[in-house]
Amino acid sequence: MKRVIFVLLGVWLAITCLPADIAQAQVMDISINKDTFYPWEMVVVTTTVENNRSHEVEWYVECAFDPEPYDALVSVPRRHVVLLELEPEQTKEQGFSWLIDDVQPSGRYKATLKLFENYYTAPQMLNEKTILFDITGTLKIIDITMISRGDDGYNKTVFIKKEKIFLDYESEISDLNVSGTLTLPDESTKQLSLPSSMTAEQIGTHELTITAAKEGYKTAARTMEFSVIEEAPEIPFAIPRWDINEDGIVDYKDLAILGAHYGENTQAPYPRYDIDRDGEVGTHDVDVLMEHYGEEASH
Amino acid sequence: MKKRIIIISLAVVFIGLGLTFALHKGASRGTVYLEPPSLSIQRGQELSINITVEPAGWGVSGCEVNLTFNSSVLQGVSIEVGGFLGSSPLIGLEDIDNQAGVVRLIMARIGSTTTPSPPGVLATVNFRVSDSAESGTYELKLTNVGLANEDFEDVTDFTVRGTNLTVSP
Repeated sequence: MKRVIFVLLGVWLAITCLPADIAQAQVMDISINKDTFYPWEMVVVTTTVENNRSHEVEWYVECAFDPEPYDALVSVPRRHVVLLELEPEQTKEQGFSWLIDDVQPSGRYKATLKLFENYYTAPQMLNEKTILFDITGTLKIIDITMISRGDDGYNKTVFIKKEKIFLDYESEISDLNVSGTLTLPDESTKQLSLPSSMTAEQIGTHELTITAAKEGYKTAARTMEFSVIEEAPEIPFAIPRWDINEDGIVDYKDLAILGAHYGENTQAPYPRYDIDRDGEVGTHDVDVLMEHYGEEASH
Repeated sequence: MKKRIIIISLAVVFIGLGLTFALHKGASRGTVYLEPPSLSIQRGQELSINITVEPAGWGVSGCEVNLTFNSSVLQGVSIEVGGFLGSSPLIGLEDIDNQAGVVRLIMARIGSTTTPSPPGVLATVNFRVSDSAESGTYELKLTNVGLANEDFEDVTDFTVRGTNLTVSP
């Protein structure tokens, strides 16, 4: 009977004491000074942390400001970490600030606060809180990629003399005003407004510098190079890789060689039976071979 | 007289040896054939035709076979891959064209090929006789048959044999 009482007492102690040290170890709140910020205003995020453990603790609070949703192009390179030493039942307040400059794009952002134990050794996150806010009145970023294209419609950076060159750009932002300066191999310059086309005349490297502008956006600058050569280099005849045995016809003998090595892993220089040179003889190699089945290659 | 008997005996022996050699040579040719060699069937019934390979001392690492049929009499239903090229061969093509009346198979063995390959069924093709097929005898033929040996070269010493199908009302 005594033993039962001791066991029950032990269970009661475990139920009442342990969670207090784990689940109810801390209380964390988050607040922000405003919802919307203009350039040169300060974002101040404040957290209140309470130690509910029966002993002194050393906790770390990490604070991050990021665009919401996350966008690597406009990420904010700031991470603050602060040490909080708290006596049992003690509460501390900690603030984190960020001064908005005029190049930070407008949009929605979030502040994330994380409470850690053993931050520098074996970090264990105890709590996490986020709060949203907006930045307005600043310029947005222009995302733009430059393109040089040939007569055949393919993007490329090497052209043959007398070939038509199409210069263009890609951007998700519409109605951009894109203009630039083309520096020719003889150092002369030419003003362009994109999209534009020209005939390859001068042999050598051409450099195109453009600026993209739109109201409400920060003007973006980009530079690209393309070359013009006299004539296309002669490429010696090569037997296609799907004619594995190089006998001039793609047939069951090629499939038989592929089958003999099917499932093998390969490495550079890749054997001919790894037709797609992906390091594995598999179904894609069979697909490529069958796509060309029956073809004859003339030497 | 005795001399004549000896000459005749020698001639018989040489002719016998020659015949034996010739027969042996003939038997060494492999065969790719359809089985059963003939079949009688009624309209609307289903039938299965095996494409069988009987090598003659060589291994088979890959092959291509076309089975042609009269598409107004037969309709291909399905193809079951046999065990001739191993339990799980590489299938390049396995196609039934019921308009052109041709079954096309392009297959290969996965892994190495031992010599000789034992005879076996390359594939079984299941057909259905059309309800409107006219009575008569029709030929199922093997065409465009190519075999690759253990060195991935063409096998040339084989014959090909089809089958006859007699359709009755």
